[in-house]
Amino acid sequence: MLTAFFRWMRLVLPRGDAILLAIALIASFELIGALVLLLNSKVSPVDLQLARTFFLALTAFVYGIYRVNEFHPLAKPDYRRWLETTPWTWRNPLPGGPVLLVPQDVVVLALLMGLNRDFSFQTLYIPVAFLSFYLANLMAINWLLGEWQLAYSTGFGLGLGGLVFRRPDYLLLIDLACYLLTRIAVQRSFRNFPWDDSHQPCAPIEASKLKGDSANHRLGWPYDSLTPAKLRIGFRLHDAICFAVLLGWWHLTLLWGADERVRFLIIALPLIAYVGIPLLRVFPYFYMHRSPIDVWGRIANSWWVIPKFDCVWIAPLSALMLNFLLLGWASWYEWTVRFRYFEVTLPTDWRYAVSISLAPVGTTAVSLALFLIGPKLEHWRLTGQHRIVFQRSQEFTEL
Amino acid sequence: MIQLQQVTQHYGVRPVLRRIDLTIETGELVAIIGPNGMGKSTLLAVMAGILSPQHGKVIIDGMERKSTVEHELAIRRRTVFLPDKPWLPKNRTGREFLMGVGRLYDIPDDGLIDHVERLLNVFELEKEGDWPIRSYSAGQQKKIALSSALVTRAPIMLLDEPFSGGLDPSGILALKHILKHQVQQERATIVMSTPVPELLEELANRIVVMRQGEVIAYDTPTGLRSLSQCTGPLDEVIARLVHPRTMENLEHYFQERPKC
Repeated sequence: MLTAFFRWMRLVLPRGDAILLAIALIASFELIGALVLLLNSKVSPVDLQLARTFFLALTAFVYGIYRVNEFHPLAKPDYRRWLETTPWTWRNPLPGGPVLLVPQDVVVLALLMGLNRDFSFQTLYIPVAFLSFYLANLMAINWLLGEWQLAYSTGFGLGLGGLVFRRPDYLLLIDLACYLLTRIAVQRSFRNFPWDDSHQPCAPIEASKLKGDSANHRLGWPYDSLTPAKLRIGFRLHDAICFAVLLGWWHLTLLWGADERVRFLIIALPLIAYVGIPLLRVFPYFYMHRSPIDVWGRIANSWWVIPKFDCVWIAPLSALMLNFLLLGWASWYEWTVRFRYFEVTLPTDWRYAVSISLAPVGTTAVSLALFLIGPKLEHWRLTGQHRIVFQRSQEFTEL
Repeated sequence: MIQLQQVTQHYGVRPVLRRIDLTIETGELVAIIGPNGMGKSTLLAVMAGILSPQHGKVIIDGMERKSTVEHELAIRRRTVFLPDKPWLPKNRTGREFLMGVGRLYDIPDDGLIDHVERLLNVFELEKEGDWPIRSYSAGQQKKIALSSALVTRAPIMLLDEPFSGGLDPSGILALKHILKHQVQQERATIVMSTPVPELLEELANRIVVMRQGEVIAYDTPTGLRSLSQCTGPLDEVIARLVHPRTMENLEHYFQERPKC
């Protein structure tokens, strides 16, 4: 009976050593928890229960990531290549195990919830953690496979969770609704198997150009840099808009559901984060491409600006300006309007209203600036005024 | 055809190339020659699109380099550049590397497999072709790098010092014959740099002589002889053009030598 049960469960369970590691970690947690409870009188059983729920939710999160990355052929290139050589169609079960949820997943989650030993609503955070990350992971994969409408719908659905994140029962309902969308997207994507990489919004050049044994290998200097193949890196217009709006939506729902004490932080923290993020945008541009002339050369020859090289800074600088304008405005706590003879300080509620409206708009605007303002990476690499260099690594040997 | 119009290239304060005007016709083998540090490799890198000159333009088969995405991709498809020190993927075998480069240039697999085999054969790498590149000697690495440029079948080849880097006599002989064949039979355009002129007499249609970032002569070997008023071997002709005072100084040196 037990053997039959384990055989049934093996459909989704990870390798034996991973299961042993999980059991060891959970046992260690319980042991340490019991010792802390025994030795430290300041720690109450309620605290320990909170920590236990968090720890088991973390385990569920890892299981969610595993369920997608271990079972979806897109996440495992070798599995996908092998599957392409077989007569498999979407009507058959996947030989490597199911991507969609099966009763065995319910057993795993029920086991984790049982280990929590708390039969209140709080325990529902465990399946919520599993489902949220499982769905987010599948959302990205479905987007890559061309199911972008359903992928973004899932994203917007998951964002609703921000409004009710103190209510795990509502969160679970939202996740289950999102699962239905994801299920349709997964089934639709598998109907198009074998997948054509050229539909992917962004694919590394090696994967699309080189087949078989040559795939995913680099060819060194100068072939990687002077490749005659078209690069497909960058956002399509609808992706840029949808993704920017999605980020704004997540920001809004987080703000909406947040406690007043942390709401200000949720408005102001992006102000700091968005200083770094725009600057990160230039990294792919500067990968193997440098300024055609050094700083001293620019100064000595009075070439302060090289338009076909320096244009990469336009998007990050625009994003930074928008960031300071909109998010700075939104997070300006002492919001006072001064007239000639008197000044008006807006009521607190108004300030929050303005902040809550402006902050997500700021997030969307900054993202749009980063995604949409040119130059496109491919255009710049092929027509920009730069110097191509080779980034040496352990993979290559110099002649 | 490759045209360079008023090309000036700086890395820093001082220009490395100064107002270079050059036209290389289709089906020509042109050698760039000159002392070290005079801009030979920089000139090739400008033609190859590695560098973007601060002034001037490079036009290849009527398309300006880096003017539009379509033009640049079209130029890249018909051009192959081999630097003097390429970096090779050390964990791939020579054969895998050549197949990868061929596929990058959209060479159909059936012809490619045969071409790779013939290249490995001509450079005496049949056995080593299935070994990882990290196990190759410097000369063998040079051979596989040269083969990678040849396997592309690009009609324009830009080769930086192809005869240096530990190539053995049989490799030099094979490369000489292949380059000659490419130019005479396939009408390929080959531009190569070299610091030593011995090989050029029988190979080069025209020679670019560079000094201090400028083209001081661009002619056939016969034309260079009449320009330098020297009928001696090509290295002496080049020496007279690049260092006009060297021979005079040498004569002075031997005349003024104290007799023992």
